[in-house]
Amino acid sequence: MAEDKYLAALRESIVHLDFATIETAARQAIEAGIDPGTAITQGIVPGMTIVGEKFESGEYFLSELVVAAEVMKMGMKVINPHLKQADRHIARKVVIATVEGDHHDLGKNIVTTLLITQGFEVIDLGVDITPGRITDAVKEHQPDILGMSALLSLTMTKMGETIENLKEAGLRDRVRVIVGGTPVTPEFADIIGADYKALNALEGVKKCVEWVTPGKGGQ
Amino acid sequence: MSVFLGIDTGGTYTDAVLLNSKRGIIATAKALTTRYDLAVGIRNAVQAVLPDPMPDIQLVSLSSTLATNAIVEGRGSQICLILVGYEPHMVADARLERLAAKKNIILVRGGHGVDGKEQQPLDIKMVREAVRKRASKVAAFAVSGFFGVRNPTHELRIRRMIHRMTGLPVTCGHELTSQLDAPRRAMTVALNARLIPLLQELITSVSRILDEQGINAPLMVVKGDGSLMDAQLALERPVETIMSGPAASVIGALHLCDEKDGFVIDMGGTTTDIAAVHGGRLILNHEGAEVGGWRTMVEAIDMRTTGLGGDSEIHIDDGGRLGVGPRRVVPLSLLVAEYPAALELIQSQMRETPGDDTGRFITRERPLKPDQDNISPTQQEIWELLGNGPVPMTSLSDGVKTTSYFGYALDGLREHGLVVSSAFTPTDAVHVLGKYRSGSTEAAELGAELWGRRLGISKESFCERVVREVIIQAGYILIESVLAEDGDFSLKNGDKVVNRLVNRALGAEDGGNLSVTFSVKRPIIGIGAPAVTYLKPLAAKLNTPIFIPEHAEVANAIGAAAGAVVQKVRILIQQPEGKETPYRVYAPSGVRDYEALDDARSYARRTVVRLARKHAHEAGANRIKLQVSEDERIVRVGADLLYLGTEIIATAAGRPKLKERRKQK
Amino acid sequence: MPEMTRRERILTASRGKRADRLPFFHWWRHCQLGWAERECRNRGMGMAWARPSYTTRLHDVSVTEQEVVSGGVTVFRKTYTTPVGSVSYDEQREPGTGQWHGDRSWLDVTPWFTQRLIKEPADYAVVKFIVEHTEYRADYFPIEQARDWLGEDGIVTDIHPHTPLQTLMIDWVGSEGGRFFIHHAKYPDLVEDLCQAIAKSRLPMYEIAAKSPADVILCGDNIDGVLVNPRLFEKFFMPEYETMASILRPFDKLLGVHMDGRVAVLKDLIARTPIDIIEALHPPTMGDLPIGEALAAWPDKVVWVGFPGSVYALGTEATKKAALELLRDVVPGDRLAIAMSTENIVSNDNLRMVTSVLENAELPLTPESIDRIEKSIA
Repeated sequence: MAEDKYLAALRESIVHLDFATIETAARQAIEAGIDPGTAITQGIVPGMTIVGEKFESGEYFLSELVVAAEVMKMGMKVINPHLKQADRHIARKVVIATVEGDHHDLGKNIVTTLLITQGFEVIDLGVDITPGRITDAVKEHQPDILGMSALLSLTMTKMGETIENLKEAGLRDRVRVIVGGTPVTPEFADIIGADYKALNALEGVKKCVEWVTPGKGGQ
Repeated sequence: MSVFLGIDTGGTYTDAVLLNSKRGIIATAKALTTRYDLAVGIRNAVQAVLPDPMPDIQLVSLSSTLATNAIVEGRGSQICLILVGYEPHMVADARLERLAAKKNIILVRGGHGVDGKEQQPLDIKMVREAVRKRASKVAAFAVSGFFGVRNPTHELRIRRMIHRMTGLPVTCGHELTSQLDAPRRAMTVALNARLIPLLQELITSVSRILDEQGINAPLMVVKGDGSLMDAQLALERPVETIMSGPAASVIGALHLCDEKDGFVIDMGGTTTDIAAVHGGRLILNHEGAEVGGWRTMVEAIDMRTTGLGGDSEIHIDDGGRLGVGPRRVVPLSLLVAEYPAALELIQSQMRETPGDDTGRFITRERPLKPDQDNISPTQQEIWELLGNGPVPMTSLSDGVKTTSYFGYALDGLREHGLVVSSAFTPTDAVHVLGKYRSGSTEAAELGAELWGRRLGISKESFCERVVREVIIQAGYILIESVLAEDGDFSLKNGDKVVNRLVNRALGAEDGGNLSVTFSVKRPIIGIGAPAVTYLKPLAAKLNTPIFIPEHAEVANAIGAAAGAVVQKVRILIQQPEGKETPYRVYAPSGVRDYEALDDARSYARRTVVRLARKHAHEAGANRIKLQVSEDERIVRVGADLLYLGTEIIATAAGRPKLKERRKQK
Repeated sequence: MPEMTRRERILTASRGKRADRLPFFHWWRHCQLGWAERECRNRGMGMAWARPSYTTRLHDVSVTEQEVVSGGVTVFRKTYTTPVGSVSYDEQREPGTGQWHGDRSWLDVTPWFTQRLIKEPADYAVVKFIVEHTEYRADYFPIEQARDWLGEDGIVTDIHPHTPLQTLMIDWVGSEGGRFFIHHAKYPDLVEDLCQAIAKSRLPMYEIAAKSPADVILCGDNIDGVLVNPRLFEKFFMPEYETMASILRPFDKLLGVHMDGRVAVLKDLIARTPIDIIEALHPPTMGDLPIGEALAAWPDKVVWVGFPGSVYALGTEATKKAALELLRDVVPGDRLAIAMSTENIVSNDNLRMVTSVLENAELPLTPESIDRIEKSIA
């Protein structure tokens, strides 16, 4: 019962976007002896899931989504040092980036946050990332999924270049590639050898979830 | 009217067939493949097939599972692998240390980027040093550069240097494929280089045999896509002969029967191969053929190959479950046929309590070359214990000092092709059941009894179980292939229930309350010696017609003689710097930039056509027909038309060049 | 009835009355002077010129600009030093910046921020000081000059900066990585206090505008509903538009706001604002609200459409099709004007194609009259 109280506090802090309470909630949970893995999977992640649902239903906007992710990060900062090594790699990983020459990060940030709401560990490389750096990140982090975003038709070709780099490095078969951004079409995604073109943030994240769900195309 | 001689070797039997371009098959012959020296079997088969008087033979083609078998069994020569601009992890990623000794894998600074630009200058000094040190220790060199398919200049420089310094064969990555994937390219060139001396040996032998017989027609070798290439070219690209046996047999099977659609199942001594055929054409695997767990970058017939055949090793696990394959061993019946003294060895084992090692024998396969075969002390001990005939495993394992390394050490010797195992096989089982006879039935019966004891059953029921197990395993592969034809459908992704239902359909599991019946909608074309034994019952189980064409037992050799020469060249054009910048042609001679797409295209077209014609000519084609296709990738992207590149592919095809016919008298 | 001048046509439509023809015009800042532009103007295209009615002066703030290398790229750093501390921002400029006009490069690209003015909580006080020490002075010369030059060929609009919250979100704090939202959630007092200070400092600017010779006062607010969500719009934007309108109305000025993003989510709230002209509205796919639907939702407002650059890039046939589609969507064509572009330089061919469709768009539009227009071009 006591455990529920602490987990609920974590959840509530995130759902209410409360910077003031999240750190305390996290600290108290750890001090009360709650397993750090449980604090994440049953406190923080359900909180983010609720935020994701509210975004989907139109109750929350992008601003709430972004802020919730920030609140979550503060909580994770407290909990992470207590995590057992073995628990750190439970989450399915996504590496995400806006490609070289492109400074748009809105869509990418929405996707990042929505992925977190679904329990993914997201490594956000940021904007204007070269194909070489994305390839290195895939090598280093060995994610399940690579997400790339481009909003300019001029920078879209960098997605293809990145996939060619992944292929040459022998990494293409180890990661699913999803691409997104207003100008990106399914035909383009197909030609450059991406696995999927997200119609929008929500739909793209659903695809990612499907990919990592056993029996639904998950490995 | 022309006369062709087709030869297929490498499997249990070496086949030869004499084909007449108008009247079909003139003669066929079979001889046991002699693994210690393929030439013996080839000579026997060729001698047997030639009628008297000998017709004027215009073409000899050879299909061989030599390359496939060597890869599957881990055999090959010592090579030096030079990797330009590679990262160290790629060596592990592609398991390259299994293909070349660690000290012979040289990572050199250099390589290119995705746009064909030099990433780092080539460290030619280091290359020179490495080549100098290893020239005397290896049989061939393999070279692959990072993005070498976009710009091969570093590979080409290294090749020139090696040629100047050593005269040893060199294989470059860009010659074998135009596809990206540096680790897999390295693996493919390494496999290629390892195979060169093996293939050299074979071709030399065959040429000698043809000389002996007074045949002086051009010699062609079958590629994995079913087409032919001149033997000289095959020496440079032996890896392209992987899958050549299966490809030839599918072509041969099609040649022999009228079916244009179905599943061709070739069951041999070592493997079972399944290929789907559509409209009479082979389907190629553009992802690259996989052999022995190596996913190469060689475009070959799309075929499922499993280590399941007449000579597959039988094993019994702790639960008493029977398994067949994937390793090929020499059947006991054949062992005794070759070494009659071995019969006594088997008999002597009847007195022992049977264990995992009983009924297994090891024989030296080839002489030890101390300068090239680096073997461990334990391996040395084993080697010493082996004399000139088979030795029981039990006495070997008792004879070495460090018994814990025994299995590991023995596997190493097997992988290097130094020794070969013998054990009970399906071939032995059919000897016992009286369905087949080519070796010592006595040996087979003793083996069956020995192995049956471990399960506590009679030799007959043991043999029936072996045959049943082969049918079930073949059934699994067939169902996999059938489902794969239906799209993204694989038993591997299936859950337990699916697998159990398949088991029921194949009779591997008793029906319970739900019996399952499958019917495969397209016929099976069965070829290979054991086809009748295993595939007929399988077809009955799966409710599908089966054709086992006459002469199917020599389908490989027929396919070899019936093939054409086909060479393909691809060139890519891209605009790497983006819109309104030059178009770059990635040609095998290096990159070239053009301001206008039209100019880039016409240069690329000229180049592919020239190269395809040249390659086809080198491959031995006559009356070459060229076909050029262009895949221009332009997408409409919101506001823009985005140019993503053009791939130009030239296919040059022709009939093999024939020897000029003797003047009609 | 004599034919209206281009200026009359735009203003009549903008005041919600029916003009003789559908007004269409080109913004000077994207306009290619030359033969095609002259031909189109001879065929009825008007001109619109945005010029400010004020100048600003900073008191007790010293401003320096230097070129520095930051993160491997050369940026221009502008530093504001005040008695309460200093703040700075970095911007990157592509070659040729400032040579086309304003701070635009030859490719019509404006500089972009690499470091924002407000980075941390302490910066708010400094920026507030700057805001409170910004003086707005009337200077009607630019507008008067442009009016004199254009005459009846078009209109001059007064141009105003982003409203206070948008100034923070787009300019000073920035929205990369959701930074503004995070600031707003973490330091709501600092953000809202600064917003109020900006709003207060702008009052003189509105009063200057009310007395300016321009007929239309344009607030370049760049509204996009994904970033400016309905809650923010209602709390921070609508009151500011009310303030502007209350100052401008007595002087018979029209208030226009630049809304070039996805505004469907804000549709009902926009209807409740006192804005007269929704400027730069883009039809789908660049926007997400069809023009006909927007006009129906906002019965007392006028729409100035921004002809989308994405259509232009598909070529003249697509441009013709889109222009005709637009006409069919807005029948009978009241409360509407069409800008050739609000974002891009337009090619000569496209400019002439849109002109060919619009030059004969007599009001009221009917399906038949649009069919006739289509035939006349084919």
